[in-house]
Amino acid sequence: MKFFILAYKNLKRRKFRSFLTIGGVAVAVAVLVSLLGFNAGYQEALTSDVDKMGYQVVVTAKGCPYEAATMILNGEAGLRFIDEDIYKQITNDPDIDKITPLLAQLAYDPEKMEGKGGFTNYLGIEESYIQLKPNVEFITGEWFSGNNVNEAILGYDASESEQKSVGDKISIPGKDITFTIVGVFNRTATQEDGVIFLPLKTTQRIFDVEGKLTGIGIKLKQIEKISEFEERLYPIASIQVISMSQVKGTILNLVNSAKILIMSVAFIAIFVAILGVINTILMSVFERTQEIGIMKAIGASKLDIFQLIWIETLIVCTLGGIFGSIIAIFGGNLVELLVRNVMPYAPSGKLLLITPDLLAYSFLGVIVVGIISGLLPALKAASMRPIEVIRSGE
Amino acid sequence: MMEELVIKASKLKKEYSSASQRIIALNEIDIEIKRSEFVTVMGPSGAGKTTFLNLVGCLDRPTSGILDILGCDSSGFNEEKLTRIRVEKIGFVFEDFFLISSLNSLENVQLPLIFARNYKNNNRPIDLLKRVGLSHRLTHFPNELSGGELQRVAVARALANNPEVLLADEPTGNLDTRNAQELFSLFRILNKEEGLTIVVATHNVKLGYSADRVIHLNDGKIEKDERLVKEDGR
Repeated sequence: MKFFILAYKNLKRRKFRSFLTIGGVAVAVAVLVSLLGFNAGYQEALTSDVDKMGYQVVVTAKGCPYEAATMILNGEAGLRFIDEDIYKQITNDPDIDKITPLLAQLAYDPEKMEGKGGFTNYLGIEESYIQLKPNVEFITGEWFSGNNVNEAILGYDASESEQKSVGDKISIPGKDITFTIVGVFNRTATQEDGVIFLPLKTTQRIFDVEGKLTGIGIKLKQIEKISEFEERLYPIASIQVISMSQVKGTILNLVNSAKILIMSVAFIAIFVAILGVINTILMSVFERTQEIGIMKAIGASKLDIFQLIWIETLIVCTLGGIFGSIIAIFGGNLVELLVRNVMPYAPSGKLLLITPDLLAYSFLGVIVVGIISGLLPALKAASMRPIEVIRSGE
Repeated sequence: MMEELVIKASKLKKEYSSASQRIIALNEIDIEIKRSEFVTVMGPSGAGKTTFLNLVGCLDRPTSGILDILGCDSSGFNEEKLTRIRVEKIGFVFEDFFLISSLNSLENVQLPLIFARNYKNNNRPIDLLKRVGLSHRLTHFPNELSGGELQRVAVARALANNPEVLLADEPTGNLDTRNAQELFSLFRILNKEEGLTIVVATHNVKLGYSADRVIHLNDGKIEKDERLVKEDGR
């Protein structure tokens, strides 16, 4: 039997209290690991989403650029229209490498979501769209046979949820037109996986928005020239130019602000956990005043008692760290679900990125916390004089 | 050859003072205890028996005077040195047993070995528990033992580091007559067979007079110091 076993036996003696304290530390660690994991994961997922979009710049109707960018990232419709002429007007700009017109539309489908109803996103595109999307490929089928045909290409998730593939027919709710599915795109891990793609002209015809677009996706030859490009577009009063890297930065800034707030809560949780650990160990030191005195009377040195109490604290914090990490790893999916429900825009990749490094740092952190919170009770116990205990026991 | 002194107290004084009063627990006493002596310290409550044992056991420091333990003046020792003497040279048995309730008998006896960093002597705690007649109670916890058994575990614990002096403060205070008698018989065996120096504070006159020497304390002073001659001539 060594000090470690002695410390463990002491904790075991007050099982429920020790369990609650370990639980408190575990929750604090789980919150911290989840938040740090969320921070890393969100950034990576957002970057991946923006990169996969293919366009560096989006031209939309004037309005809130971030709302527009979020809608584009989400693959949502509801944007204001710009004239298709503008597309023709800027298409020959010398700085443009690739350009594609986009028309996003929305239709309510009462049959969607197992009869609960929901919106389906439609995106009118031209062949240039696929040139801007290096990661978009057909898993089956091919491109539309014409510019104004009643044909559709399904995003991967749309194909899965509609349970349809090439050759099947679909119809747009409220429109008395049937479309033939000619292709299904592969999974891109972006919001566009849930979109139904139609030829641009067909979309304009069906939704009665002839000559209108909701956006223009652009890849510049050199992204550094975006200011000059923006300058040239400035005279066109009805449009705005949105750089996706700026959008990414702004979303991350917004997320960071929220993160600071949540981190403050996490640190309060950790602080409360520290107080809990100190309280538990200190209480157990006070309750064991006589026992500690006896140990000193039979030969325990100040250092022995200090070591014993400190080990107890470290056991509590280490077990809390282990359980907290396990909760963070396995409860991560739940946190991700919550975050997705709460956040206005959540990228499609994994939001929670719990790496071994993150776990190691959190674990190290909790050990440091243990070392600090064990100091006071350990010093208190070590400074007890055995004679006082013997006398009180007389 | 002169017999070796284990304890030598000269003008040993211990005073406790609070805001309202000053109590002299030991008043400049002189005592010499030789190696292998079995001494009992008797006297009424407040006579200074426990104070004397606490000073000899290095649990407390004298107010004045000299206290030599095994040839060293302990009055000048710092706490670290006192702890070392406690763990290496002295075994202490208390009236209330003072066993650690979360540890079983064997673990309680192992405790002083841990504090002495003596990890080699693995069998000694078991041997000691066998010696005090508790080989069948090794894994029993204090709440599963009788008063007599608890005190025997405490004796085994006090002997764990093979001390040179065994101090016992009212060890029979919580025991019935039979267990008290058995405990003193155990002390006698340890004294006789291993030459262990034993100092016991007790109220029990009959048991007190079963030792080699009885020191009577009253009001912090030695009233009488009797050396008893046993039937075997010792």
